Amino acid sequence: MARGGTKRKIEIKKRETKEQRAVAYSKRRKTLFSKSAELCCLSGANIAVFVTSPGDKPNVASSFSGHASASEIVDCYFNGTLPPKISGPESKSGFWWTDPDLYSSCDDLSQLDVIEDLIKRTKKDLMDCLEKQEKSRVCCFDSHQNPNSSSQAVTMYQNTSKPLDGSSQVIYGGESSSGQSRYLVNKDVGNCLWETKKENNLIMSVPQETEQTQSIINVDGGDEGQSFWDELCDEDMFGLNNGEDDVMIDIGEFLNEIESGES
Amino acid sequence: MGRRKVTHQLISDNATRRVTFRKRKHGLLKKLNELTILCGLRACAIIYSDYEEGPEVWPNRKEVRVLLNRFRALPVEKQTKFMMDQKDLMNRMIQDAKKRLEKEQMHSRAMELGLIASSNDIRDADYSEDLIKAADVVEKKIKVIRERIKAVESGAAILMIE
Repeated sequence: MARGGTKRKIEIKKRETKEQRAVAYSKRRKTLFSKSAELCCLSGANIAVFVTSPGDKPNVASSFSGHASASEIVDCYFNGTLPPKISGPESKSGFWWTDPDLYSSCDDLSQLDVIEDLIKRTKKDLMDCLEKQEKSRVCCFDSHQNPNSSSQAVTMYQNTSKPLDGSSQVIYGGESSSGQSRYLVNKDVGNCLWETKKENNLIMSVPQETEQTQSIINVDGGDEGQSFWDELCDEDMFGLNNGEDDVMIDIGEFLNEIESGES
Repeated sequence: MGRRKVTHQLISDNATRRVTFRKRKHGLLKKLNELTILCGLRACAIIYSDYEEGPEVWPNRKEVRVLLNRFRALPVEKQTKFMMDQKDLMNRMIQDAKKRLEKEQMHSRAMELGLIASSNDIRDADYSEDLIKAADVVEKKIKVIRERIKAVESGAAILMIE
């Protein structure tokens, strides 16, 4: 080593004095933790290291250089698996494929292949999802209803909707006081009643039946009120709000994780 | 030191990443082992990786379980008192570096003063404070030299050259 201290061979056995032990402890703990930080950083592993202090006190110094806190890792050890954080330092805004520096950091062909593969897969998944949307859309109701005519809404689609089996989608709309909106709903209902659902503040005025169905109908994200077509025209192209496509949700969550958890 | 360049981010190449993981993990556990022996401590490590199904654990499951139970039994403040993550490590390194910088700065200051003191043409009122400090340094040196002279005259050996 060219720098500062010389590299002496130290016998690996317990140090004699308390001071010696304390010194060794502080120095070595520092390197230990920085090495575990490196390991975790470079290989994306989730690590927790626990070290007691050499005094007689039951103090504990811990490093959770991993991507999660030490307590989390401890809990996971006693229960199940950890949520891995393998995501690289991708760009914080936008999607990973819009990053202009995506290719500049690639040193060899294999990395470019990896990127190409990822992009292809993403595209394929999106195409599949679009196809599914096209096929299973039942009816697209574009209404300019009077928001006060709640009774009208109830009987609406029972006649016009095709009977569906398995997982299917229904797009039905109602006009809220704030404007026109359409819901994209993913339903797994076999025998469920097909009834429309009014928007937020109008829900109260809807008769009982509808409210019951609402509990069966699982609208994830539909309360936001943004329709499929609106979103498609947005910047946020792939934010389909029904959680149908796992890949897309991954990317979204991806970025959220990075934003919230990047150290 | 180090034969290869190390980027401080996730390694993109899968093969390299796996090899690096294995090597560094081995080194890490070795260091952990040494620490335990040298200081007579108890320690444990849990490693979750993509390369193995469950957690990899050091030294053995029993010890880990015992230690972790003890850890959990501690009150929360004691648990989190010395909890460190990468940010904390970085901050510590920054602080250490700052301290070293200050030390070096003091040294170089002292040497500057020495230079000023030893130069024959002293410009007046350039750095008045520094001149005073330089004067102090010079006086101290003079004192030391006088004492040496006394000691030598009274027969002590000339051993120490400061």
